[in-house]
Amino acid sequence: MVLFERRSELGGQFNYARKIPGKEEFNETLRYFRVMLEKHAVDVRLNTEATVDALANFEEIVIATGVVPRELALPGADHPSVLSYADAIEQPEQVGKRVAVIGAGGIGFDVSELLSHGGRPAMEVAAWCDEWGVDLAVGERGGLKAPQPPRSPRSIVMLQRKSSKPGKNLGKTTGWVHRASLKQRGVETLTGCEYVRIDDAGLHIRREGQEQVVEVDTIVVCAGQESVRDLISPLAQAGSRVHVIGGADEAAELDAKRAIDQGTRLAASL
Amino acid sequence: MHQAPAYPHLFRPLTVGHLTLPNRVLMGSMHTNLEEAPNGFERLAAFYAERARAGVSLIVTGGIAPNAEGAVFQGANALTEESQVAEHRHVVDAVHAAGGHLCMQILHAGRYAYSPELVGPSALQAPINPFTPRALSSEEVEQQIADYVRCATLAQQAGYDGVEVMGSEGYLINQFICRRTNQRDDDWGGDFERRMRFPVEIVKRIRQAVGERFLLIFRLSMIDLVEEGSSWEEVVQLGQAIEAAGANVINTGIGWHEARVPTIVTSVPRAAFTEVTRRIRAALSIPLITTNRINMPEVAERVLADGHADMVSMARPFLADPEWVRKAEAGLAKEINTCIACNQACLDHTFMGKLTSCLVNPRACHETEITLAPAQTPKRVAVVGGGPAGLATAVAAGQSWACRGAL
Repeated sequence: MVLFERRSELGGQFNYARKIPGKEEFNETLRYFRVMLEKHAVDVRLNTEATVDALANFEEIVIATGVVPRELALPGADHPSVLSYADAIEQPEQVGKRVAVIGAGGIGFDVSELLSHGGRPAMEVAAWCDEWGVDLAVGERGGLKAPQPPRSPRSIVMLQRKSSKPGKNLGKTTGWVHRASLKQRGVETLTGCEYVRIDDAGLHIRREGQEQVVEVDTIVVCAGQESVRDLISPLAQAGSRVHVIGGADEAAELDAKRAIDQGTRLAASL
Repeated sequence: MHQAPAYPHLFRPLTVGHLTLPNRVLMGSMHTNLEEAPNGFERLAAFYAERARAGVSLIVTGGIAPNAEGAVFQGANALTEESQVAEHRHVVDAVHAAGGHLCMQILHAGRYAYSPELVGPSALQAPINPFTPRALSSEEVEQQIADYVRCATLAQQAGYDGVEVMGSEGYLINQFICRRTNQRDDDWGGDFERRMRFPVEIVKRIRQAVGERFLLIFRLSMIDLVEEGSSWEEVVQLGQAIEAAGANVINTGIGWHEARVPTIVTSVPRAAFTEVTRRIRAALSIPLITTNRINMPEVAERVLADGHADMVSMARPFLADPEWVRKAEAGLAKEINTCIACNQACLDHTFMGKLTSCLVNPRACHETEITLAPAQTPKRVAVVGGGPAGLATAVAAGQSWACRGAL
């Protein structure tokens, strides 16, 4: 079995998730995968683009090529203030003090969380207790104390096209935590936005019939992603047995749960 | 050659009640929704037995209600009559055959029951439930206690090694303990002495009914994280009364379900709450179990070495990796598939009425459905892309071929 990876490290979208404060545990999943690949002697080829020719001799080909961030289609989308979520997560130092995050799905929330964090490590118990107002000595009834909201180093506004509640599709038992965390950090949300253009003044939007400018230094695009599927039809024409899973199969909602489930079930049938 | 164990505190035996356990790990209670599924008890047996075989010595089942009104949702599993004992015995036997011990959790949801027939100490609606409970009369409180005792007795008949009485997370017992939800002025409410009488009587009467050779764990809310929750003095007083009433072990509960403080999600630091268990230790003499966001052996070892508790409870980590204990004991922690506390396939599924599983381990609760041991010889397989989908495919295929090779 050979695993081809175009980039220099394994992980795909997990490499973004693991950099979000409060999502450090994703590092463990990647460590597990790396250790088990080695244990089972899987031939891992990093920095290697799998071509149709290179794949010719395999009996079964699993297309797990994932997604690319969807680009904005509006005037000024190539303005220097515009960053993809991938760039913003990998190089947060490029992001200015005033930020607009386009898209309030899971990635928009993650990016806002990252950009609104200051210096203190997210996983330190004392700091965490201060933020959420927890007194482990239970000095008052219930062990509650006045929360001390952390200060965000940036002012952030998260926008979405839909008029529904931001983060509506976040996890049923976790969404409220993400919403509360961003609220504590002063992240604002604007719903029902129509994006008009981007220029030196910032992001121009139309909302409730009124055009307005969101004055920001950086615009981070978290407006979904598109499946990478270029290998599928050439391989099918070449007569290979092709299985398409994960983001390459369905990019609408980035979904690690479905990706891992599909991969595991497929492996059980190979 | 004798090698020092990697986690000496974690793998030191512990005597709890009549049982001597080889390690300090409890597989904590989780509702999987298999409890209500077709062939659910058979699938539960496979789920628990796989964990017991891999070294989990003590398991607590998902919550089973002592009566219909106490079920977490309408139609959720309740153990109320002898005809139900056989299906439970099937699960118990599977765990015993695998070398483990199994306790059944008795859970009465009280005002958290998602059903119009719900009851509570007072007619006060929970902020997380559309239904308002009916306040129990004094006689009805006696009946509720009798239902707990009947449930424990039936569990004993089914062969369980003990029961865990769920007294935390804001469920019925917790609702009696705190003024927030108990505004009675009778034998079961008023001052703290009377508010805590409900759990104390439950423990006392269960002990009387089941005798000494039956483990009785009480899950005690040590930090409620809601307004008008218990004071620390009340927590300690309750712990002492529960011990005197005949409990063998006290397990830690952290926060009510209606609390606006996260207690188990991934952004909660590891072992953030074990300090609370440490604080009560000096006041009690029976073993204590601590919990919440303990997911790797070095974390569990540190909690025990620092004297925070006698035992650690982990629940979701056993969805992520059934072989957690075996790998830890063998010094192979790096091979553990770690629980990332994402809740996406466990709790989110449970609350949506779907079967519990695990984002990082889709086989969890699907043990009888996804088996990684194909009959054919390995083929030449290319996986293109090293993201979660590709990694899962390569690792699972590698694992299944390794299984095949071992046969």
